[in-house]
Amino acid sequence: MSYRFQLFVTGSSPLSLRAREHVSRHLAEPLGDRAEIEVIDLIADPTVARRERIVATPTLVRLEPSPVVRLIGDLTDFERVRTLVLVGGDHPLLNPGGGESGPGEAGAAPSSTERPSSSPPRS
Amino acid sequence: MSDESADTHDPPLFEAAADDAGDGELSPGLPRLPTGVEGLDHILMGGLVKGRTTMALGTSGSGKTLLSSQILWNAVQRGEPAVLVTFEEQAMDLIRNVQTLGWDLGAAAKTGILQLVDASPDPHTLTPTGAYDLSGIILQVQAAVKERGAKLVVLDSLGGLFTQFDDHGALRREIVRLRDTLRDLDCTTLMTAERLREMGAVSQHGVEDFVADCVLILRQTLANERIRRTVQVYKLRGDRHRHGEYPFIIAAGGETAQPDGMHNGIVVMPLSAARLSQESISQRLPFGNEAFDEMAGGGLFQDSVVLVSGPTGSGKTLLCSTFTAHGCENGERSLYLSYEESRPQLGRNATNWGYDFTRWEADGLLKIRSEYPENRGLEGHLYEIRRQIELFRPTRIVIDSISALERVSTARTFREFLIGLSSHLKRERICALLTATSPHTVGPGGQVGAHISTLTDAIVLLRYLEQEHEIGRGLAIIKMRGSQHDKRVRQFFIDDSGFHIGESVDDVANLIGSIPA
Repeated sequence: MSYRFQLFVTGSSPLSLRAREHVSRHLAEPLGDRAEIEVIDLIADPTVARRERIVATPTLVRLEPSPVVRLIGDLTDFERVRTLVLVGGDHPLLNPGGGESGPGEAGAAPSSTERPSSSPPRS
Repeated sequence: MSDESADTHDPPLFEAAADDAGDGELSPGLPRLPTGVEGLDHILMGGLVKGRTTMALGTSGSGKTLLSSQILWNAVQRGEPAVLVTFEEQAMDLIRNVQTLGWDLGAAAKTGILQLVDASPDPHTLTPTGAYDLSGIILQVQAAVKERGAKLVVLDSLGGLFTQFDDHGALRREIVRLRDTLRDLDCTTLMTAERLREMGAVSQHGVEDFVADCVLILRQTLANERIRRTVQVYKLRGDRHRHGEYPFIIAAGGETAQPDGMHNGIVVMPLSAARLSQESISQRLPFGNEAFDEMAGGGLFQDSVVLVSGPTGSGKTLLCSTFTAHGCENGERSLYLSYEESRPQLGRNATNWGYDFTRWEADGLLKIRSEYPENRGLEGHLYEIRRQIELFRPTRIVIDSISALERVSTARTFREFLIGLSSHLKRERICALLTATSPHTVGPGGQVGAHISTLTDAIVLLRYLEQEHEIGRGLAIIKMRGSQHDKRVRQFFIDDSGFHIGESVDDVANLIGSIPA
C-alpha cells in the first residue's frame, strides 16, 4: 500500500459531495489498491472533529507517505491536489494525461517544506 | 460597514445621569451572565447578555485576551462549565500566560469544566483546493459545549481565522453560522477581534459589530506619557447599558495580589457608580480639636469628604496628623496615604506634636502608606486606595495631597479620579481629609479647589494673613454641607502641642479668592 488518505466531510452537503466525487474519480479509481481511502462523516461523530482538529471542511489528509499533508476545500482544483498529495509516493498516476511530467518525478524526495507556492503547476 | 464613530471623543466627563435613571441593581430587560470583572458588570448593567454574542474589540495589547480569560476563570470558579476556542494562540500558550495572575485554567481544563478547542494555525494545512466552509470548527465547538453543558463560550480571536483562511466571504458567512449555532445551544458567547487603530471604523473584517448583539471596545491611549486604558460599551442591542468610556487597570501581582486570583486582572473603574444623592448619615466624628469641632457645628460628618486647602507650610499636614491621631486615640482605624512626605518624615513631625504613630501602627490602628504619585496612573492610584480600604477598613482616611496626584494627570482624568474616589469613600462611610496645596501663599487658592469643590462636603481653608506688618495664619470653613458652621475667618496658631484656633480675624480680603463654595 503506497497511499493512505482520510477525507473528512459533513454529511451530504454540496461541498462534501463534490469532494467525495473528486476523491473517487482522481484518487480511488486510478490508484486502485495502491491507496486506502477512508471517508469520515463528522456529522455522524463530531468528537472526531475535535480529536483530529478539523477546522475547515472538507479536509483531505494524506497520512502516507509522510509527511502528512492536509488540504482543505472541495478539491475542485485537482491539478493542485495532484501535485500536493501524490508527490513522494508510488506515482505513475502523477501523469495520467500523458502530456505532463509529475513534479515528484525527478526529485521525489519527500520534502516537508513543500508548499504550493514552491511547486507551480506544470503546463 | 459601520464606521459611524465609535469614538465620541471627548465624551462628557460626568455623564452618569443619561441612561441611568435607576442604579445598577435595577433589573435590566435581558437576563445577564455576570462577568465577575470588577466594574464591568456595572457598566453592562449586570453582565453579558445571556444566550447572545458579545464582541470585544481592541488593538493589539488592549487586553482582549486577558478580559476573556478573566471571564472564563470567574465562570469556572463559580462552577459553570465553559469552552475556550483559540484561533490565534495555541490554547496551552494562552493558559500559560494567565497562570501568573493566579488563574489556573490548565487545572480547569484537566477537570473538564473548561473545554479547550485549539483552532490555532496548523502548520500542516495547505492552501485551499476549492470551496470550503467551517463546519469542522462549528462541530468541534458544538461537541465541546455538549461535553459538559457549557453555557459560556469564548472565541479568541477572530483575526486568527482571517489570517488562516483567505476566503473572507465564506468566513463571514461561517462566523454568523457559528454564532447562530451557539445561540441555539443557549450559550453566552464572547468573541474577540483586532482593531488596527484606536479610532475610526469599528469593524476590520466587516463582520465584527454586525455579528454581535453587544460590542465592547477596549482602548489604550497615551496620556501624560502613561498608557490609559478604557472600555466602552459601543452597543448593546435591545437593552440598556452605560455609555461612555470607563478607565480600567490591569492589576497583577504586588501587595494587592490575591492568591485566588479573584482580584487580579482587569478592574474597571465605573465612575457612573457615583451617586451625588447618596443618603448621608448624621453621625459626627470629632476632629481632635475642640475649637474646630465647634466651628464645624459639632464635628465632621462620618461619611464626609473634606478638602483642606492651603499653601505650603500652612499646617495641612498638622491638621491631618491631628485628625488621624484622634481617631487612633479613640480606637478607630486610620489610614494615612502620603504622596509627598515619606513615612519617617511624617513620623518625625507627629512625634514633635506628641503623637506616637509607631505605636499605633504596631497596635493595628494606623496604616501609613507613602508613595510617589508618579508610580502609577490615577486609575492605578484609585484602585490601590480602594484595595487599602478593603484590607484595612479604616474609619478615617487622609490623602495628602491630592494636588500631588493632580500633577501626574490630565484635568479630565483627575476629575474622573475625584468622582470615583469621593463616591467610593462615601459608599464606605469613611471620613476623609483630602489636602490640596494652593500655589499662592497669600490670597486666592489653587485650581484643585475649583475642580473638587462640588465633590466635597466641606472645605477648610488655611491661609497666611498679612496683618499689621505681621504674617499670621488664618483658618476658615468655607463650606459645610448639611450643617451650620462658623463662617468667620479664625486665627490659627501652631506650637509644640499642635494647632490652636483663636479669635476671628477682621479685615481679611480675598481669602477665599476664586474658589466657588
